[in-house]
Amino acid sequence: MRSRPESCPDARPAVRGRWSRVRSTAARAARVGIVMALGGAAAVSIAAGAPRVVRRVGPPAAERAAQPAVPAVLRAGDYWSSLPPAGKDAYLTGFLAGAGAEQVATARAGPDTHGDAHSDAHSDAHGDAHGDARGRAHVPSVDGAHVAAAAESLHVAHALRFRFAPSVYASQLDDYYWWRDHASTPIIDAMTEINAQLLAQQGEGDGGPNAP
Amino acid sequence: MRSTRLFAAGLVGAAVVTALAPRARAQEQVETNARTSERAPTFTNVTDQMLVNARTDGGKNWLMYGRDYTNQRWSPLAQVNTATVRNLRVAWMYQTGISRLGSFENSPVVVDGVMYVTTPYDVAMAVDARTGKELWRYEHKLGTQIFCCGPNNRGVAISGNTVYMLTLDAQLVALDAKTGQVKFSVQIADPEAGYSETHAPIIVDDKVLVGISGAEYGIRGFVRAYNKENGQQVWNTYTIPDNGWQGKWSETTWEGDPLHRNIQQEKADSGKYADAWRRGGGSVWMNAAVDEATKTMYVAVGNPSPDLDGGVRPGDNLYTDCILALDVNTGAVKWYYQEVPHDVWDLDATSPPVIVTLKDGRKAVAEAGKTAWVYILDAATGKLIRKSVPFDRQESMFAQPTPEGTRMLPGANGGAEWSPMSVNPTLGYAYVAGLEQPMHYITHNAPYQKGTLWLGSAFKAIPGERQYGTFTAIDLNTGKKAWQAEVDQPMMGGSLATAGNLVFTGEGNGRFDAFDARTGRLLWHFTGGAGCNSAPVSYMLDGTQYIAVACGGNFQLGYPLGDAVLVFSLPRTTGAGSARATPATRGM
Repeated sequence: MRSRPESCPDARPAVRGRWSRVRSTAARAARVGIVMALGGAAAVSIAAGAPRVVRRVGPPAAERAAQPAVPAVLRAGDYWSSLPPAGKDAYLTGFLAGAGAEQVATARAGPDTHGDAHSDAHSDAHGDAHGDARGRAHVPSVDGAHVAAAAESLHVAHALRFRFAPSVYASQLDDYYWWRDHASTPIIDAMTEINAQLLAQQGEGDGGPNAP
Repeated sequence: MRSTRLFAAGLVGAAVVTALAPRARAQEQVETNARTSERAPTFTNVTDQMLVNARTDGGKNWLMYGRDYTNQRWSPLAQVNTATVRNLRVAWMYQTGISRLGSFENSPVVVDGVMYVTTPYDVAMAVDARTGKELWRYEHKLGTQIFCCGPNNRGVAISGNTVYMLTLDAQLVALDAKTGQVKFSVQIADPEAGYSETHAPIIVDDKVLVGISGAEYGIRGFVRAYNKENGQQVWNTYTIPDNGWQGKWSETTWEGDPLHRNIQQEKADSGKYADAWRRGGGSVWMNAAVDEATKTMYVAVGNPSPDLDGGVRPGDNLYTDCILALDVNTGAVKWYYQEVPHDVWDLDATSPPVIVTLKDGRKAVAEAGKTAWVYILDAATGKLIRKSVPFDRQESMFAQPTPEGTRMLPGANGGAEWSPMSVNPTLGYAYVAGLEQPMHYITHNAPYQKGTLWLGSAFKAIPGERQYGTFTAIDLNTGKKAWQAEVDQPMMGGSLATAGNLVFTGEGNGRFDAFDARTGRLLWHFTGGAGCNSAPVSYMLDGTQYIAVACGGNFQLGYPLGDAVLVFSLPRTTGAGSARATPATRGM
């Protein structure tokens, strides 16, 4: 509660002084009361033999195990439709980034995916020649910067498998899931189908509705 | 005796001369043709004045998509008329030879004997308009293309010695009119974001005026002007405003037809979807009409995005489904008229607007809607003067979809699709190619099937229900039907009206028809093989009137594809400039 309006400057010092004393007295009394109440409650609790109250975080393990988990890769139409526009954009941006990274990693993976000193055909563009502290042979670098650079190269060459803008896929998914019988189709399947149709317009892959 | 011999000799001589005469005429005709075909075409520098005066050049040229800035597709030529049309025959045929077929929706541009043609997948060529001999070819190297409704290119614009073409990968390409060499190209927008171009640009003064397509992929549409000399952008006007796109929350169309909207829910959701305008759609499918006197351009704006799901785009979704009037010099919006607020039926404005002068002297803008109405608006203010009677059946207009399917007419293709109207200014008739395609509007369906409608989904043809086409003359001064012809298949392509009191249009089964513009009586037809699904043109050369049409089918409606441009004229034996008919030779 505000004690005095700030618009009465002349009265402020006297008021502040008086209200301060009053607040102090009241505050002291309140603190004493709270301590007494807590103490009383504790006394009652101990006397009753009640367990200690512990702050819970989330459902107990048994409950958690019983809930079916929906892996991200199986999120489907209902999930898509529940997303706000910004969420859809974020989802697709992540999807496209992940698809690009996967494409780069797949391209780099050679016959020997464990990487030893002789399998240097897939070493990164910068040719990191340093082994690790234990002397093990060099493993091709897959740090983020290099993946991004490789993905960008694919993007510039229009060679990314999922190469269109998030807004394109968003509008197509909106149309796709407008159909109720598509609701259970995982988004990644829908994306694959839509992407195939879009690629067909480039003369790549199987035909879509607008293919000649 | 001597006189008898002389008489006999004279008879024999006369007989010989008579026998040889047709051959001599034929020989002369062959020689004449040979001389004609050998004449090298000239490349005329197309001046601004020529474009401004295109309507009054006597009909010898076809200088832009709609022939002149009014978009009326009206030719003042009358050599081919109701009396002579029955003798119309193929003068020559040009087959483009493109490797990938698609909907052939081109209207050629013709300048003093040179015809410019564009094909699906953006190949442009110059052709001798007398003979069909190819002069040059430009094959655009397409980048990423995401397009709706077919890999279309409807034509070029020309100014000076430059031909301008738009492409599926959202480029504006300027070509040397004499050689086809690229002068410059401009990337209008990112094709990987769904932007594409399918219409013919328009040149006004120093500007190339273009719209953009891609509303099916969540773009924000625009109209733009580029400098025709260097491709620099002059102005840009979005067809989706960033303020006010929610409009007036109309419960009905502007003419009062109920839309069955849940305005309360839309308003409740408006905060959640406050930025839906950023992906609002609003494609411009066809070229603008231009009023040179007022420096106003009129465009038809397409559907909002997403096309079917209005729940994520509350409000009227301006300026989608609108006729939009813009200042040619600045792009400023002068007025707009919305045909369908908050469209969820794909009944958008796609057919190009046409500038007409009514009998009372008022200048108006007319547009044939997918709604099956022709809207006639005051060109200065955008106020509705009148709406025509429906030129196609209307049932359950603006009904909501159901699981069982709500029968809907017009279907999602219209009404009138992109097909341009033509106008006979003397009669005051506009000729509209329409589709009678009843559909079920349903909320769920079988999975995607190859070859279905491009929407593929919400709108399904009703099994067993007949589909057909209509070709209608609408009296623009009354809004009533003057006449209507029924054809076998839904129509897509457009028409040409001429001073010979004829109106030409094509059908998907390959027929190319000539109707009496006054009565609708079918006077002539020719079977072109592939669907004749483009808007015809007419021009005059060496005293001969030609009618040209691209017959290459339509993918959207499944009409047979091909790659031919057919050019017709009257036989030379009728004499150039002669209106007399020879003994009838009906079209093949």
